Amino acid sequence: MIADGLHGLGTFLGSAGALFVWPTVGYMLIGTLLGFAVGMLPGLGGAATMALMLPLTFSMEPLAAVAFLLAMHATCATAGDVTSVLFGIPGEASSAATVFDGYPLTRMGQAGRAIGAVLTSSLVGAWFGAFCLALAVPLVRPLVLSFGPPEVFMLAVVALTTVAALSGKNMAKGLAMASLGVLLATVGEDIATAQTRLTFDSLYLLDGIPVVPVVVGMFAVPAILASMLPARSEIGDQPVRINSWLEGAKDTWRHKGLVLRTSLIGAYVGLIPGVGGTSAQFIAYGHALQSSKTPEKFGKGSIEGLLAAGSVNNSKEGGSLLPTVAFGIPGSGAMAILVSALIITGVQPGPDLLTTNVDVTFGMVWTIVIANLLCVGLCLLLAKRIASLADMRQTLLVPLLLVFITVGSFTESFRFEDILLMVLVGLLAFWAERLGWPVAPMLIGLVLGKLAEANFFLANNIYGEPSAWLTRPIVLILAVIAAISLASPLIRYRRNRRRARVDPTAKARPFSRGDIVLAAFFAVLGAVAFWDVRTAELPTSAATVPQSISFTLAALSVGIAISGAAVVVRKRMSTDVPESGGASAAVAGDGRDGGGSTIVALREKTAEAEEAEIVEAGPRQLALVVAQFLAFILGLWAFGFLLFAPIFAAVYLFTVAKTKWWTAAIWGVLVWAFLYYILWGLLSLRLWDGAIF
Amino acid sequence: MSRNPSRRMFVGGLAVVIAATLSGCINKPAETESSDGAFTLQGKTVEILVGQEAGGGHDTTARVIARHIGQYLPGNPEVIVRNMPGGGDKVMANYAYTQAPADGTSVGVFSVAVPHYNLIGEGEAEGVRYDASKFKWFGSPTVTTNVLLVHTRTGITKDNLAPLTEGQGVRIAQRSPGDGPHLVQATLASGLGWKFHTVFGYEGERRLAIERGEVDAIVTTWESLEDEERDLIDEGVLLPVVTVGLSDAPALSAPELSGVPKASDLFKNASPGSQDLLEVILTRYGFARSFGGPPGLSEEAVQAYRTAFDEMNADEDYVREAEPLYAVVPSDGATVAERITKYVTADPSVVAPVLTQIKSDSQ
Repeated sequence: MIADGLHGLGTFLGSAGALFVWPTVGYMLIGTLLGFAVGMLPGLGGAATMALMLPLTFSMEPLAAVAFLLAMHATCATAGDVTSVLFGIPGEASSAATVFDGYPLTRMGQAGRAIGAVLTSSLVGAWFGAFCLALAVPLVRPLVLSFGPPEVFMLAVVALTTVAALSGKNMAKGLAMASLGVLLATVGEDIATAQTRLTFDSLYLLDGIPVVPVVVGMFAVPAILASMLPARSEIGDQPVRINSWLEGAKDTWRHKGLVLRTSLIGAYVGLIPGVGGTSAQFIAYGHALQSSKTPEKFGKGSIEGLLAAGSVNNSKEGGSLLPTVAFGIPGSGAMAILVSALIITGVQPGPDLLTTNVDVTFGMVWTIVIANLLCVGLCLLLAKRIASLADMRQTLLVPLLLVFITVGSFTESFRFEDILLMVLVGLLAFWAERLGWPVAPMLIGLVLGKLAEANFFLANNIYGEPSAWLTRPIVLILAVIAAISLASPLIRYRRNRRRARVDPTAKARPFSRGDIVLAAFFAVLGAVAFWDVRTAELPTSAATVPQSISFTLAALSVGIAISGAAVVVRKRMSTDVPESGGASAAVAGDGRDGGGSTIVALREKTAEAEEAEIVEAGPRQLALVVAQFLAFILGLWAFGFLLFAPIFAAVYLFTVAKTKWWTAAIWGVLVWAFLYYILWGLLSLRLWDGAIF
Repeated sequence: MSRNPSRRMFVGGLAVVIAATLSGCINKPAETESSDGAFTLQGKTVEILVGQEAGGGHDTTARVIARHIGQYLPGNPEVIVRNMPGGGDKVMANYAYTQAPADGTSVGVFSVAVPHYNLIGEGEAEGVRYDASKFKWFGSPTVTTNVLLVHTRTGITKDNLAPLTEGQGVRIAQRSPGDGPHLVQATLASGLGWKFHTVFGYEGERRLAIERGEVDAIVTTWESLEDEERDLIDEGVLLPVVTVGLSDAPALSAPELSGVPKASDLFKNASPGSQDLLEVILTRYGFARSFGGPPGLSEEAVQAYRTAFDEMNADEDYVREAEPLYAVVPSDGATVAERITKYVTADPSVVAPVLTQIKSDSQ
């Protein structure tokens, strides 16, 4: 037995040696660099790029092909975290949670620390995931087999309960947003019944609402619109301290228990086929929230939240390789491509990879370890450069960011409608955030709603009825976790409300006229959806969720609208307008309207900072900025990327950012060169050509 | 503004660059006729449309074809793949039918779903705006064979099919009512009276479902069967009960399938109507991932593509690269066109029973 163990160890170490042979190591390096570049670009990444690289692997050796693709994929996640932290724009859908706390930290002048924290926790997560891959190989079968539809459903419920925690003081609004998310998840064809729901006869909606444009829209659009506003005063604007990334690394050490736990969650959840990394991040984030001593900081710059998000993003890579390797069942689109690459090079995924070809599996482990180390090293080396981008005058970055987000949304599935979706979601998120409606629950609802619904009905199809499967051991354990996860924020919420009567700073944002309008909008949405599903006469299993959730959305929204109206009316009627505490004073239109209300255009303030970042922007300026944004989209649609984007960049920089004309022209040419040579030439990405020519 | 001459030169130069950029970007109609009028794609880029996202089987097939076919087309064009996912291939098929240029620069790899929508009578209301028999077909790169696999815990053996014909029948995992594997199940049910209790909603893990004991049977594609499943068949845990596909498919010579009846064998004792139905269904297996172009393609272009496709299939390099991904069993363009026309124009009354079965399964 010792001989066996030594032999195994020998193979493990030997495969590292195999990796450092030319050209294998060369491919790994190229893959790392590509992943780094692609990961930075919001939206672009994951399956699409891997598919483009696939033909290149035809002539490679198995280990080289795997090293190339896996290095690219593994570093995408790590590099994506950097854009999330610095710009508030997630590089991939599974990096969304790093924005929650990473971006606020940057706004507080702690970009260096945030980058350091997210990168080191990513490294730990990646290594942990790889470690799990190496060790758990004999255990993977029972692990995967024990997670059937009932267990996946309950896992999705656990993740959904993080909504309550993330809503914080604005519980009703958060729940409404989550309901909206779940409702959007039901749009499209219901696989189990082949019935279409809420598609309104659109072929585009038949496949459902895609996640990437929604994520990009939710985070990027409000950030970019805010950047486009002229900032009159920015209190608390400190220079970005880049040499403090070590501080972030120390944070990882300080919270090592948390980082290891969230890495474990990522690896394990990544292991379960069908759940996916986007769900894993919310489960891990929720756990960090639960176990934290300062939960109220989450979403506003909590280092714990950032560490959790960073590590889970990478540990899931190692985890999701397990079912791919052990069963040949890819956990995601990107894994499917890896499977193809393996098949092309003659390696059959399945038990062989754990026995005769185990050196390939170990090679994967080493690739993850080394590629991430290289990527983190590269990021930290360039950290100063990259972070100084965040320091740049915001308006200078705008055209570049606009190009990135539209390219990212478009290349998801090459449909212009995805850009439109991103715009709609973005504008909605912008509006909602201003009014204090948390948008994260909408994303959680969208991603997990589908998972929960599909598995609930599948479980019923298999076992007959809920009582038959709700009593399975793992399901029960998860149900208890879900209950705790739901209960604690609710208890805290109650406690806060009680405290609010005494201490005004603990109160939620007061209602305003804007709230009523938004709530009314959601109520109408809910009603329309409810009516549409009702009249479609769908079978029960297809109709239950959309009907009940649209009803919930409408009911919650009506409730919010009515409370809002009551508050506004009461304020109008009383002569004394009560001050509602420092933190909320700077927030939008609290009844003191009459044209030109004070509007907060930037993100949440920290719990510590009493003074908020107040950007005074009247409705006219806001409308102007939205108009500029829409003009870009319209121009893109009419004239295509290659023609319009460079011109817009040049014109915008010259007229709005007030650069010198030749700087604007050079940037225009650079944008064109990027689109033409890199995206079209190198990656053969066929961008939108424009409807007119 | 400065009167600096060097700046003016710079401005002039920049203006020239921008003008050149713009003129390059404006699309000109593609010229695909050489000076002597023969069809050529010289200097052009051919796009192969795929109705699915990057990474799927059809996408990979298209990419392999893209790597090899260019050298056999007149003018040796560059060939790329363009993904157009949406509506279960309807978006791509609609585009190829109504909007794609018919000069030979736009072709596609079509899934079997595309003709299938025509067969089941979907039209404008369901978003179908094409007639599959009117596409110009160049060939099909592969052939697939379906197999009904059951777990031996059902008590089913080669000689004892009783659990399939009695009582509740066999629990089977399926994805969506009316999709490929379900169509096979429904055909067997309506033609042979086999009984199934269908569990819909499985995305990718139908095989795991058997292992977990949630179901006892699946319809799977033999060519993409994995070593593990093959092992389970060798060990006698999983049993192939019947194969559904072309009678000369290479897959049928696999050792695990020796002695396994073909559907056509079992249907010999079925009603004439059921036999006609099976014949229609079996046609599908001869146009998997078919390669074709818009209806407006010239005869010359069609011929060029068909010849190129045949030549590509004789190319060892292509076969070597494609073989691991899919069985390289090509059918030529004329045959594929014939099969698709036959499928699409099948008598609705022949197909009606299986559609009824599909509906009742999903209740």
